[in-house]
Amino acid sequence: MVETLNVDLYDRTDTVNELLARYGVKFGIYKNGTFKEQLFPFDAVPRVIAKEEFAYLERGLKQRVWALNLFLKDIYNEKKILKDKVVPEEFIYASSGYLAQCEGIVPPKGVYSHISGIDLVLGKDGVWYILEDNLRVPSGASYPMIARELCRRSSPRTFQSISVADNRNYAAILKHTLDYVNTGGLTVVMTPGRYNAAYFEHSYLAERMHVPLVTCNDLVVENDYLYFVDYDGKKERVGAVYRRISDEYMDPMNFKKESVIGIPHIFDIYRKGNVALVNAPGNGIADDKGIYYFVPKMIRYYLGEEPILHNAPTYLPYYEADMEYVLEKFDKLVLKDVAEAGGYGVVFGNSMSAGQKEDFIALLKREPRRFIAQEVIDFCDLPILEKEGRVERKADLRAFVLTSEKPVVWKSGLTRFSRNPDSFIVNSSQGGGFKDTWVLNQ
Amino acid sequence: MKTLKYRYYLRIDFDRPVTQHSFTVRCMPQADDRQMPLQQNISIMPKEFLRENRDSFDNAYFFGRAQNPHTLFEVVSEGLIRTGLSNAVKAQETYRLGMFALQTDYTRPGTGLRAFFDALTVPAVGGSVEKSLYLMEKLCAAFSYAQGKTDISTTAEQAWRLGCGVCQDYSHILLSLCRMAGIKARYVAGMLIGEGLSHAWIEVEDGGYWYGLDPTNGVRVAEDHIKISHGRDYADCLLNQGVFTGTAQQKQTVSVSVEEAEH
Amino acid sequence: MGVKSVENMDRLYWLGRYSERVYTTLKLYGQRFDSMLEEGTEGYDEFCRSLEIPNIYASAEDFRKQYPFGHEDPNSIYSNLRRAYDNAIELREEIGSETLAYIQLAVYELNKASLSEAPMIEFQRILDDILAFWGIVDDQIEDEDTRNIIKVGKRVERIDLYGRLNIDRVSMIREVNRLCGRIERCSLHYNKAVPDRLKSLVAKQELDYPEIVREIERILEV
Repeated sequence: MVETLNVDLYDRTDTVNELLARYGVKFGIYKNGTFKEQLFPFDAVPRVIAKEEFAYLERGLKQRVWALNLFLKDIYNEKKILKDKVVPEEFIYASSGYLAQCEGIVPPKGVYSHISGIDLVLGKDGVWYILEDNLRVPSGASYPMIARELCRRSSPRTFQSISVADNRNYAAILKHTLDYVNTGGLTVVMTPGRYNAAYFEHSYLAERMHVPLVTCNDLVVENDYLYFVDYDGKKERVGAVYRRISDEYMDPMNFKKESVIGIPHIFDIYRKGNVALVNAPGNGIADDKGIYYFVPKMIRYYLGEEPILHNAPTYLPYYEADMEYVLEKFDKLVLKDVAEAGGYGVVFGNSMSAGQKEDFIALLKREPRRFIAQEVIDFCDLPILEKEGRVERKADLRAFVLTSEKPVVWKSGLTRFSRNPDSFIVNSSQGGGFKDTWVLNQ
Repeated sequence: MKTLKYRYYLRIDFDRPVTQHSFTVRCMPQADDRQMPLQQNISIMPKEFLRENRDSFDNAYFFGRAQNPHTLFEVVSEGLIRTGLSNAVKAQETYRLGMFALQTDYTRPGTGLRAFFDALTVPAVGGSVEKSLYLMEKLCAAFSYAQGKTDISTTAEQAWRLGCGVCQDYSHILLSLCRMAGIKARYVAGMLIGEGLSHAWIEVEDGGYWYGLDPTNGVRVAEDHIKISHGRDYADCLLNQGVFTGTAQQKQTVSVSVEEAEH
Repeated sequence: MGVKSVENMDRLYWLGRYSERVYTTLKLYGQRFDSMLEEGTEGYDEFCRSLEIPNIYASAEDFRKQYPFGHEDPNSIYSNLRRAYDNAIELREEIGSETLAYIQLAVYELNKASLSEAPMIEFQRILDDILAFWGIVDDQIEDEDTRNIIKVGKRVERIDLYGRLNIDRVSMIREVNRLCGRIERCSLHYNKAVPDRLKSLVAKQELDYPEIVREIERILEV
């Protein structure tokens, strides 16, 4: 049905891309040390998810994010999961995502992962697999959000004939999520500045939520509270900061001393419960690639439920049995360095020369904790429109789960595709484009 | 049991005025099973505000800001404290102490420390305290005290290769050795009777208690030490930190005095 | 939105100034471009003098390329539009995506013009975009202060340019009155003596243009 009806939209790909350019829908990259803004290429063929299928994803995602929140609270407080030896201690304390500074802190309303970006792929076997959980500063929701607006403008006919769940409510859900944990005062979006890759998103979300977009220069800690300082020197209390800068740079008094984009003492007053930092500092431990392996176990442990969504089959060379398997099936596996993100530190066993392989295995044996190995999932290609016509390309889906009273799954998501026919890596920092994600209403 | 009178004094001189000076100081001894403060006073100048808090290791600290131009920053922390109330401090449950078993950037051994450790015969029987005493003894025999050879950024491995260092280096090396031996150990910042500067030592966990070992002096901690804070290594126990606006050079002076109080 | 940071106040003001600078200098350049079709080489020297910008151009051809499009030339129309854009891009949540879009479109048009045989067509579109930008500022920005700051920037720039270009007295009086009425109504900190001095300067029959320029440039000195 969708295939035939939305042809009108496909004919308007150029129009939509022109509109995206008009509104400056870009991401920034550094090439040879200079900053450049690039348009994020949009492909008009959407990823379409049927109503029932999305309902299934929704259940699975809520379950997963809820468990991850419980895990974070446990790890930084009671540590029951360590006591019961479900996760080895070493995987927590040796992870760069674990921050000792967060020990003993329960953030406002107990929410850690206010905004989670969960990456999934659909296998050719018809099964959805979770690729990774992003609980620090996941980006990308703004792209499908504005693309939908512009697609509706470009092809009203398409949206007349197909009933697609409206995804333009993202800002409203986000605003609610932030207001829910606000400890009193303004809600603000904090950006490292316009030379950040996701600056468009920071400014667009601030606009859509009608809240100030701020940098470290606008905020100051005084006594036990955070304030926005306005042009007249007047101070207004801030109760929630949707900060789009990473933990290490947030506060030079508590993290990297050399950070010039942070706010001194913001973490000290956060510790006192006087401001909400969104997402919570220390979340990196939950999206660690090594911890990923344990998420299904966490779901069973904290919720007493079977995981609804599956991990990609993953092995931890840390365990001897897994190491044996990895060495045996090396050529069939993809190996990931747990410390890297954004599509870096990912290698395919079969793409290495004999020498590279030897070196890699030596490294793997030396630092088994550093890597995970996964089966290469044969995932479904999606059609994209190139000049020569329709071609099939690898694509993933980033679903957004926003947690306030309960986790809420945004009825859309960012579908990224690789332009390179041979590439499995769909990260926008490595080229590639995006699609809208449609959740059908019936 | 002793009653000690202590005074910690820090002054930072800036060669030109600085502004927006945010600071955190961790220099006030706290009550635990081993020591009990009787009188405490802290004064920090200048400041526009000053607040108290506890960090993730439950160390007390103060944070604040000196907004206006200044060329001098002073901290005085003084008081009376009773020490030696016990020879150990109750630890949390073992499963909550995992972070003290792992090496940190300061303590991670390189080939030098690794080889030294491998050549030792750590007693197979006995608790962590015995094992650590053995490690301390071996360290003291192989390492000597010298000022000015190392600085606050020196790691255990670097100090080990130099063969000499100060209390911070002794402590980092002993932490490294203990952790290699599978002992949970933590860094302690504090003061010592008769010592003019701040001091550092370590605590090792044994049977649910923390025991203090002072490798610089090759002794167990009893009643002459005043503990201020603990953490995984030096970085968790900074006595003072600051960031400010301005291009000033700073000169930091610390003087400590600890003596037995008159009865 | 109510609260405004020091930086955003500054950006709004300069967005107003640079949008005006691009608009007025582009119109002037258009007139010059037209007359240079027959007159050929000469004339650009006088153009630079009238705007008080250094004549760094090697030839008429160089001027025709560099003045509108030069990326390195700080006085080029490109550089001024770029500055307008640099301010606007950091004001999305303050002025809105719809408003920002017109500055973005002007940038695209100028890039197109640099490749065109008949750049006047694109120049016209840039003028349209800037007019639309001012229109939407008036029509869609809810916060009165935000509107006023942009407009004050625009007025200040216009008086500055008109002063340099020795524009007729009637136009000058009109611009000074518009500025004085506007600046009182915005929260910008400004030199309260300047509006009165400007008024008395334009009250004279013979305008002292250099003095007007000096005066207007003092407006934010407090």
